[in-house]
Amino acid sequence: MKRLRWRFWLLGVVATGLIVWFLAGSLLAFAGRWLDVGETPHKADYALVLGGDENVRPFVAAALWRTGFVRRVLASRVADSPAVEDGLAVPTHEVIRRVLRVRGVPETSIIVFDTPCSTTRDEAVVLARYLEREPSATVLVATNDFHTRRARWVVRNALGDRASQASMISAPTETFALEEWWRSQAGFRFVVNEYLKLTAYVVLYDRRFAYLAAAAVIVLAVAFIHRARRKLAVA
Amino acid sequence: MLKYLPFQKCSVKVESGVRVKLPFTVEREHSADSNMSSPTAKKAQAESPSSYSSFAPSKLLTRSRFILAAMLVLAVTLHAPALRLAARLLVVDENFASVDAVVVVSGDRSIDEAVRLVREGRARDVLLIEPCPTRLVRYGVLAPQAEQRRSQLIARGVAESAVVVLDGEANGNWESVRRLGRWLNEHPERRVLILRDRFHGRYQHHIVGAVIDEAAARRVSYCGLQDRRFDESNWWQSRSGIKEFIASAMDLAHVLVCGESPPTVEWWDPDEYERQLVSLAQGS
Repeated sequence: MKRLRWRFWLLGVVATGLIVWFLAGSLLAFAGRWLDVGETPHKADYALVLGGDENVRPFVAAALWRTGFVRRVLASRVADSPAVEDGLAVPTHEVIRRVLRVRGVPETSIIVFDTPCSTTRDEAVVLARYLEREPSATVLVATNDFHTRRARWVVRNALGDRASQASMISAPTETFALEEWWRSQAGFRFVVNEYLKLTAYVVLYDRRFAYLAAAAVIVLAVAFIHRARRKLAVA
Repeated sequence: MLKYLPFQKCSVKVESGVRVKLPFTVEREHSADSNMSSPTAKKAQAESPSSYSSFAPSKLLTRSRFILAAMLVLAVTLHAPALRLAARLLVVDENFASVDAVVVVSGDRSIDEAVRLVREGRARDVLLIEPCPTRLVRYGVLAPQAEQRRSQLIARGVAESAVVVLDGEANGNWESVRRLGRWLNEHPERRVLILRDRFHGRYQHHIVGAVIDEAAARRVSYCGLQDRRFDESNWWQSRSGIKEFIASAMDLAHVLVCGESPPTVEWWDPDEYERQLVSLAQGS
C-alpha cells in the first residue's frame, strides 16, 4: 500500500515536472505580460511621471503633452540617493524636468511635487493629496510596462473613491522584452523583483489581506480549541 | 480488552480516576454505548492500518508542534547570522598593498575611494570605461558618464594624466570587462583593482573569470565598497539594503545559470511614439 502511494506521488511529481517543462516558456511569458495593465491613452488633465527609468518615462509624458492628450505634466520628487547628496549625480526630478524641457514642454506646464518619495506608494499618496485640490481631475500615469500593475494597485488604493480618475500608460522597457524577460539579466531582476514587491505591497498595505489573515488565525484557533476539547473528551 | 503495541508509551485513565503510565499503547475498547458497536464497524476499524492507536496522531502532532516551535526559536535567534552569511556570499573583497590602476565601476563613494588610493600612492592611474550613451546623453540631458567621473576626479585633485578613459563604448558589464581585458593584454605587467558596490563583488568576479583569460585575471583585485546606509551585518534592516541584496543576488543567480545576456539596444523612438499618438487622437 505504502509502495503504491509512493509510486503515485513519484508519478505525480514527474508528470507535473514534464508539464511545467513543456509549458515553462508560455507560463513565464504570461507572468511577464500579466504585469502590464497599460491602457490606450485618452484625454486627461495631467500626466504623472513616476520616478525611475528616466530614459523612457518622461519622454512618454512629453509625447502625451505634445499631442494634446494632457494639459500639464506632474513629476515626482524622488528622495535623493547618496550620489545626489554628494553632488555627483543629478536629482531624478531635475532629470525629468530637463527631458520635458528638451522635448518642448514649457516650464509653466511642469509641476514637480514638493514631497520627496522613496516608493511608488509615497508617490501615489502625494498624487492623491494633490488631486484633493481638483477632485474631478483625471491623470495618466506614465510608467514602465512591468510596473503598471503595482502602480495601478497603489494609485487606486490611494485615490479611493476617485480611483477611476487615474489610468496607466505603459512606457516600453528597452532593457528587455516582457515576453522573454527571463532570458536577460535585467528582465530577470526587474520582473522577479516586481513580483516580490507586489506581494510585499499586498501584505503590508492591503486591508483585505489583513482581514483575511485575521480570519485565518481565528479559524485556526477555533479548530485547535475544538480539537483539544475533543481529545480531552476522548481521554 | 487491551492491545499491546511495543515501543510506544502512553497514559490511560483507570477507573479510580488515577492516571498511570504504561509501557505500551492502549486502545480503547468500544463499549455498547459507543458508536462503533456494530460488528461491521469493529471489523473495519480492526482492518484499518490507522487503528493501531488513537493516541499516535496526537503524539505526532506534539512532535510537529515541537519541531515548529524549535524552528521558530532558531529563526528568531539565528536570522542575523544567516542573513549575514547570505550577504557575505555575494561579497568579494581582497587585500592588496598597491596596484597600478583602479577601475571605477560602481558603488557608494567610489570616486572618493579612487582619489584616496591615488593620494596614498597605492594606485597610480584611474581607469574609466565609457558605457554606450543612453538616450539622456544623446539628448544632452546628462553628460557622458566617463566625462562626469573624469571631471569629478580632477576636481578632487587627481592629475589629469592619471585619469585614463579606455577607448570605445561598452554595452553592459560584460562588454566593459572585455574592454578591461584588452587593456590588461596591452599592459602585461599592470595590476588593477576594481572598485565595485559590495554586494556585486561575486557577480563581477564571475564575469571577469568568464571573459578575461586566466593569466590576466590573476592581475585583477576587487574592492567591495561599503554603502553608507548598510553593510553585510545590517542590510535587512533598511529598504535600500534589502533592494540591493535582492538585486545583487538575482544578478548573480542569472549570470551563474544563463551566462551573458544579449546586449541592450535602445529601440524605442519617442518621435515615432508621438506620431502613433497623433494618429490615435485623429482616429478617436
